[in-house]
Amino acid sequence: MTAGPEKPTDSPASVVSPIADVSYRHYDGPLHSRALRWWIVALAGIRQALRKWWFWLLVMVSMAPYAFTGLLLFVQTRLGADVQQAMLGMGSGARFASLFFQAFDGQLFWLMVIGLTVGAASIAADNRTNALQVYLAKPITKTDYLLGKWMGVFVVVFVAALLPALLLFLYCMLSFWREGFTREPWLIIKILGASAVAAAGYASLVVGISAWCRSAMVSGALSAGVYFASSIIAFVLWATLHLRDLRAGDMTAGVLVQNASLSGVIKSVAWNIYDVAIRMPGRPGRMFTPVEIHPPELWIMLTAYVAIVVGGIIGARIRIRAVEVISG
Amino acid sequence: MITLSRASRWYGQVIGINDVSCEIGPGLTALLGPNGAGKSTLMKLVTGQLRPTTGDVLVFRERPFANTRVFRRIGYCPEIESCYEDMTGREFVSMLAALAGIPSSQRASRCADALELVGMTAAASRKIGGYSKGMRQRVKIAQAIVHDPDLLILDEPLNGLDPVGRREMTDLFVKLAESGKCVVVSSHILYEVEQMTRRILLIDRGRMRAMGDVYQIRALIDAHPHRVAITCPEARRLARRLLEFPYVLSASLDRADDSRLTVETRQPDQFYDDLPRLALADGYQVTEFESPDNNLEAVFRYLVKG
Amino acid sequence: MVERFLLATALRDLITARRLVVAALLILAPSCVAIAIRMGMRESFDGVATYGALASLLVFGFVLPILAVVFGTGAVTQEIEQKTIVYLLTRPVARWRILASKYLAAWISISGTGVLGIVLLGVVTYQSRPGNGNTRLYPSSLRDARAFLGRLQTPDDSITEYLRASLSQPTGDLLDRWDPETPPGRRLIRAVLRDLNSVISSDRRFYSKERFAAISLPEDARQLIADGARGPAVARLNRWLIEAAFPDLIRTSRTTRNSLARDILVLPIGAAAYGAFFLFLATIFQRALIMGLFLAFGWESWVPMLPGNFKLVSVMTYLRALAPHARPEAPSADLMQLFQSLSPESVPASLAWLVLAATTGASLFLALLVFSWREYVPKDDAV
Repeated sequence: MTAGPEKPTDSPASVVSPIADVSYRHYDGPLHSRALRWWIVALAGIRQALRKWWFWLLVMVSMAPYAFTGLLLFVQTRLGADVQQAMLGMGSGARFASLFFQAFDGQLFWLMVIGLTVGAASIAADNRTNALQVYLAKPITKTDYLLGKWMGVFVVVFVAALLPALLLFLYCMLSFWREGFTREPWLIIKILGASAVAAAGYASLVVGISAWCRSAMVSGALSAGVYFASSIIAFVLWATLHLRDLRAGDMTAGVLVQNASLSGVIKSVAWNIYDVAIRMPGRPGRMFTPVEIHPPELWIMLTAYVAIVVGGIIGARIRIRAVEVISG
Repeated sequence: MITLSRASRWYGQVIGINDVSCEIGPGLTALLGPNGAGKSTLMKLVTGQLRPTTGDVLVFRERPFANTRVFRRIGYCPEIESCYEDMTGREFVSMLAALAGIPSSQRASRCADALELVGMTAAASRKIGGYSKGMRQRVKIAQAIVHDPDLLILDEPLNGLDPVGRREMTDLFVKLAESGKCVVVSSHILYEVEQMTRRILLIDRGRMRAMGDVYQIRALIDAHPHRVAITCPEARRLARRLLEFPYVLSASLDRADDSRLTVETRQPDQFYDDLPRLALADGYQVTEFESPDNNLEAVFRYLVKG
Repeated sequence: MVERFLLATALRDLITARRLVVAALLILAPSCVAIAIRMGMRESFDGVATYGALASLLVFGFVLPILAVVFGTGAVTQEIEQKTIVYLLTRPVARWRILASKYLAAWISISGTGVLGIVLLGVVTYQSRPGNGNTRLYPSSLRDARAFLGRLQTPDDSITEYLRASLSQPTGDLLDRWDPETPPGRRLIRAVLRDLNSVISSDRRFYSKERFAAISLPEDARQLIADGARGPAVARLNRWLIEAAFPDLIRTSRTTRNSLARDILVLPIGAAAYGAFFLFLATIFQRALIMGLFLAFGWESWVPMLPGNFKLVSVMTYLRALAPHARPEAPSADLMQLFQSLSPESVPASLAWLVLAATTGASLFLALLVFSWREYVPKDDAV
C-alpha cells in the first residue's frame, strides 16, 4: 500500500531509504471498495440537499409550470370541443410535445436554482475545509470524486425535471388516450432526453464553477451571475442586432441569437429533442398575428451545449488537486 | 468583577449553562470542564455576545450584552481559529486596537508592545492566512491585551501552541494577573491549568460543579478520602504508627515495593501537620512524599466522572 | 474617528484582488456588448437604443442587483461565515455604528462599480448626430419623407388623422395637391414640418390613451405621461410620441447624454435602496445570499412587468420610473413586451422618490435595530 509516487514497486518504500517519503501521493494501491465508488460521493451530496427544507420548497415551486399545464388541460376538457381544439392546437404537429416543452421551458429557471442549491457548495466547501485531501487520500480516484460530485447534482436536477413531467404524462395518457395522445409515441423518450439535457448542462456549469471557488456563497453568486448575465446579453443582442432580419420575416438568425445564453442553449437542445414549433403572439401593439417559431439550428446549439458540459467538467478537473489551500 | 446569579442559557433544546451563580474577582481564574461543558457559553455571556435566558450576568456591575462601557475594559480572545486572512498580524491588532478606542498617535507603539509581549514581532508583517495555529493564537492574545483591559477573557488560549509557547503564554497570563487584572482562562487540559493557578471554576454539562482553591476543593470532597503516598525504608512500621491517628482510614503497602506506603485520610491538613512531627520524633527516613490526589486531575475525576 | 477607520477597513476588505477582477468584469461587460453590437451593425448602429437596452437590462437589471446582493448581504454574512464577527461585537463601538460603516462601504462599492460601468457604456455608445437632443423636426429627421407625407395625405389611423387635422389650411392644400407618386417638394416638407413642430412644441392634447392605444410606447415616454408633462417636457413627449408612431419613418431625437446624466444620479439611489434592503435581510437570515439572489432575479425582474398594481411591491418599478430607458422593441414573441402592453402605466416620479427613500430608510433602520439587538454566534460552536 506504500507505493512510491513515481512507480509502484514491489518492495516497500522504506527499504529503499530509511527516511520515509512523506510527500503527498494519490492512493494507487488496489481498489477493493465497491464498484460504484463515485456513488458514495454522489450520495453524500444528495443527502445533504435532501435535508434542507427549502430544497423541497424549490422542488414544489419548480413543478408549478407542469401543474399549470395540467390544470389548463383539465379546464379545457370541461369546455366545448372547439375551444379545446383551439388551445390544444397551439403549435403545429405534435401538440402534446409542444405542451410538455413549454412547461419544461417554464421550469428551466427553477431547475437552475435547484442545481445551485445542490451544487454550489459541492466542491467549494471541500476546497475551503481542505476536505479534498481527505477524499483523495481514500481509495478513490480523482475521476471518481469528480463524477460523484457531478452525479450528485445531475441526479437531483434530473429527478426534479422528470418527476412533474412524468406525472403530467400519466395524466395525459389516462385522460387523452383517444384524443390523439397515442399519435405521439416518442413523447416519453423526449421527456427523458430533455430532462437529462437540462440536468447535465446545469450540473456541469455548477460543478465547474464550484471547483474554482472556496465558498458556497461566491460559487452560488458566480453561477447565478453567469446564468443571468448571459441571458440578458443574449436578449439585448437579439433586440438590437438582428432587428432588420426579423422585420423582414426571417426568424432563424434571430432565434439563434435569442438563445445564445446558458439557459438558451440548454433550452434549444431540449427544443430540438421535442422538435416542436411554438406559436407566439407577434409584436404587441401592431398586429397580433401569431408567429410560428421553430427551434434554432441543432448543430450550432449542440456544439455550444457540448462545449458547456465538457468545459465545466474539464474546468473542474483541472482545479481538483489534493493540495492544502492556505490563503495569504 | 464578574457576577453570575442563577444564570442559565439554552439554545433551543440544548442547555449551554444551567443555573450558574458565581463571582470572579481579580487574579487568574481557570475555567475548567470537558468539551461541551459550557465554558465557551459562559465566556460569551460575560463578553456580551449572548444574553442569559434566565438569571443575570453582571460585569463591572453592568449587563454586558452589546454594552460599550463594559467592552472598553474587556479583552477577549475567542476560541475560533479563523481570522481576517488577508490582513497582516500587525494590521489585525491595529484595527482592533483602533476599534477599542486607542488614538492613532499611540496605536503603533501600543500594537508593537502587545506583539512583543506575545513574541510575534518578527512575523507581524506577514498575512494571517499563512500563520500557523500557534501564531494565530498569539496574535489573538495580542489583540486581547493591546488596549490594556481590566478583565481578560481567554477561551482556550493555549490550544495549538507548542510547549515553549504554552510556557511563555502561561507566564504572561500569570504576570497580568499579578498586576491586578482579572484573568479568566478556559481549558480542558489540566496540567496547563495547574501551572497557572490554584483557583478554578469547574463546570460540567452546563452546571457549575466547584469553585475556589483546588486544594480546598479537594479537601472538601469527603466522599473520596485523600490518598498520600510515602516512601520510607521502614514503611511497615510507619504504617502501624500512622493507623493510630483517628483520621487515618487505611494504610497499605505496595505489592512490589515494601518501602512504598499509601495512606488514606479524611483530614489531609491535619495529616500533613502530623507526619513531619512523627518522622522527626521517631526518626523515620521519609524519602518521598506525594499525594496523587492533590491535583486537578483528581478533582476533575471526582467531580466530573464521580 | 472610529467611524472613519471602520469605513476604511470595510472598504479595504471589499477591495481584494479577486473582487477587483469581478468588479472589472461587471464594469466592462456592458461596454463590451455595446462594442460588439456597434461592430456588428456598422452604419445602422443605433447608439441610443443600444445604450437604453444595456443600461436598463444589464446595468440596472443585473449589475446593480447582483452587486447589491453580494455586498449588502456580504457585509454581515461574510463576518459570520468567517466567524470574525466576534471581534467586532466585543469592541467598545456601538453595533449600529459598525453596521452603518459597513453599509456605507458597500454603498460606495456598488455605486462606484455601477457608475463606472454606465459611464463607460455611455462613452462607447456615443454618436454625434445633427439635431439630436432637439425636439424640432428637420427635413433630415425624416428617414423617408415620401412615405411619411403619404401617410399624412391619406390618414389611416387616429394619429395620422389628428396630425392631418392640425395642419394649417395652406399646408393642407399643399399636401392635397401633391402627387404621392413623385418625390415631395422642399416647400411642402418645410410647411408640413413647421406645422408639426408647432404641435410638438406646445400641443398638450396630442397624447390621449385612446389615440395611442395601438402603439407600444417606450418606457421614457410612458414615464413622462405618468409624471404629467409640463413646460419643455411637453415638446419632448410629443416628439417621442411621433417617433413611436412612425418608427421606420422618423429618426430618433434622443441622445445618450441626458440619460447618462440621469443614470449616474439614479444608480447610487438604487444602490442605497437595494443595499439597505439586502443588509436587512442579512441581519435576519443566515441564507441571505440565496434569498437575495432570488429576490433580485426572480422577484425584481418579474414583478415590475406584471399587469395591475402588483408591480408596486418591487423596488425596480420605482427605479425604472426615475431612470426610464427607451429600449428597442423586441421583434416578436417577447413575453416582457406582451406584459408591458397589458399594463403600460408607469409610476409617477414623485411617488418613486418617496418610496425609494422610505425603503432605504426603513430597511436601514430595521437592519441597524436588529443588528444591535440580535445575538450573532456562529452556530457550530454555540454550545
